[in-house]
Amino acid sequence: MTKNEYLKKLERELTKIPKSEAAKCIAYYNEIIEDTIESGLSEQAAVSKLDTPFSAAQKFLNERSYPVNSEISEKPAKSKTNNLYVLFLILGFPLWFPLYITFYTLVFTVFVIIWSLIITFYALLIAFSVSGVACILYSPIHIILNNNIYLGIAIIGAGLIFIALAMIMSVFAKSSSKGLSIVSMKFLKGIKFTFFKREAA
Amino acid sequence: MDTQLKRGLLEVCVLAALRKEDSYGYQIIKDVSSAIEISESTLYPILKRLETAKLLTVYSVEHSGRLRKYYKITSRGIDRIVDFLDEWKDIMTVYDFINGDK
Repeated sequence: MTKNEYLKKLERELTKIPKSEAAKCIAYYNEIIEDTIESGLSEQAAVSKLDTPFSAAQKFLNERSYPVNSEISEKPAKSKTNNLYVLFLILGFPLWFPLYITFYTLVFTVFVIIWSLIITFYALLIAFSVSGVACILYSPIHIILNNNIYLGIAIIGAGLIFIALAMIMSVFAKSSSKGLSIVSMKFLKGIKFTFFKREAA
Repeated sequence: MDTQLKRGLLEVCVLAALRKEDSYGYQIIKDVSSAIEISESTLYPILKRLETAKLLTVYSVEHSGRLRKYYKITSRGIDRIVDFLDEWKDIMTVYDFINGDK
């Protein structure tokens, strides 16, 4: 097939679209064939490299109505998801707001429990040491005032037991406050990670 | 390859072929074929679309007694290449994950 034959056939396939558009398409194939000939091929070879006029026309007609990829997929999709997100946020308010509050209340409760344990240990420590010291100081007074040496010695003994308990409690209070503060830090970090990892990344 | 995907890739390949210098149909096909299969009848609709979307402009130059159409990339066209590369950075991460490189 010669170049002119090819272009004639192509023109016949493109009668359904505006003439100016068809002319541009024909000019394009004309230029391609000329350039291929210029690169060293014969006219016949240059034409036979191309799709048939029918399928070339089909491809053009099919693709003619497609917008550029970036135009269809990207920008409208993004704003759509944003709008939908806001819409769900507003409509879902009665659902997510109580859940949100519940979640933070639970977190707060866990903290209160952790720290009340530590406070308990310290309260016991203070109570035991105060009663221990009080017993030991009171026992000689008791012996002198009531002239009861056995009870006085028993009170000293109780005081010593209280002091021993206070010492045990100080170990507990120290290690628990240290350990639990580490645990609560980890807990906080865990929450932060679950909820804010996107912003952090 | 998925036709929708190929359509998108071809558009960016054509833009990339114009990034260095203005070019014409025959030369664009030669340049792009090193990366992806493209025929004369595939290129034409792409050039049309890119022109309509103002990602490239067209001008004619006289060449050995005839007119040759040259295509010039616009700043929007360059933006499109940059966007494409950004997008595909994420896709390459997924590729590496699926491939098991990590």
